Amino acid sequence: MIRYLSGLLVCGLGLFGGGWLIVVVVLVRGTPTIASLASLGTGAGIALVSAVGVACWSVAWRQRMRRDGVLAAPPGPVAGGTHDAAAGRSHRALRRDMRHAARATRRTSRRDGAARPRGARRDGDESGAARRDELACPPADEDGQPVIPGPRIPLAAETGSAARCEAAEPERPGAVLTELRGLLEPLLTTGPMPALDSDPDDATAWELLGEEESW
Amino acid sequence: MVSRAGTGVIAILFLAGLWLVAAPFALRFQPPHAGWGGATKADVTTGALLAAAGFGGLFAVLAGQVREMYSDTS
Repeated sequence: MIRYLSGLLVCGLGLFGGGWLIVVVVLVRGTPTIASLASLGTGAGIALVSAVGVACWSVAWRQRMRRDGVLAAPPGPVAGGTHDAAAGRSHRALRRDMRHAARATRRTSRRDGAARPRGARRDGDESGAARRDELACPPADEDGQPVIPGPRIPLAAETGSAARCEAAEPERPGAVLTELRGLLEPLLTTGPMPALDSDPDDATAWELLGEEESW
Repeated sequence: MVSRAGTGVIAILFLAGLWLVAAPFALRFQPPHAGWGGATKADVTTGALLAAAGFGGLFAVLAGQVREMYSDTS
């Protein structure tokens, strides 16, 4: 940085000195003598050379800063478009990917909801907890990693939820359906829904289900 | 490449300063044993300043280059 600064400083001083020589000759305005012509010529040459030097040092400094990563690379044809376009595109692409992921999740949830009986969502305490567990424990692949549609979202306490999924595995879907039917039949015949109790787990389950229905 | 051109410009400025100091005597518009006129004073002053700045600038550029070389190797 010292060399660029000193180069710019010296060239700036040369520009100033050349300009000063020109100004002195123009201000005196006497008859053109050898002295005035020499001063004028030298001053003009010095000013011109100094301007070139300022340009050279500023270009060299910018090149150095670009090499160090302080300045952005100049716009030009690169793979996938220009740098500015790529920066803007990455922002837009991120938002678009997030929208697509949310839409895919919504679609999957809706499909799952359509596959189940409608009333199965408003079951009792046990089925609500089971639904919450299902939301917390996405289906796992062969490595035991949860499979989430769309971009991979890191889940907090993933290992804990995986353990819970394994623990809930022995429960058969047929048994769950029978149990649900037993719970739902009285509700469908009586009509109005039972009031929620004050169990915090149940409230969380209702929150999750309500969120899903609002989609 | 560009910094070399810049260094060359500084060297030219140094030589131009020397020329400005020497020009009144070389072109004989300043008699050797007479008092200095206004043009001579302006030329010599400006030339001396430019020559000193160019000299110092050359060394500063060289010193900066050497320092960068050392920092790149370490």
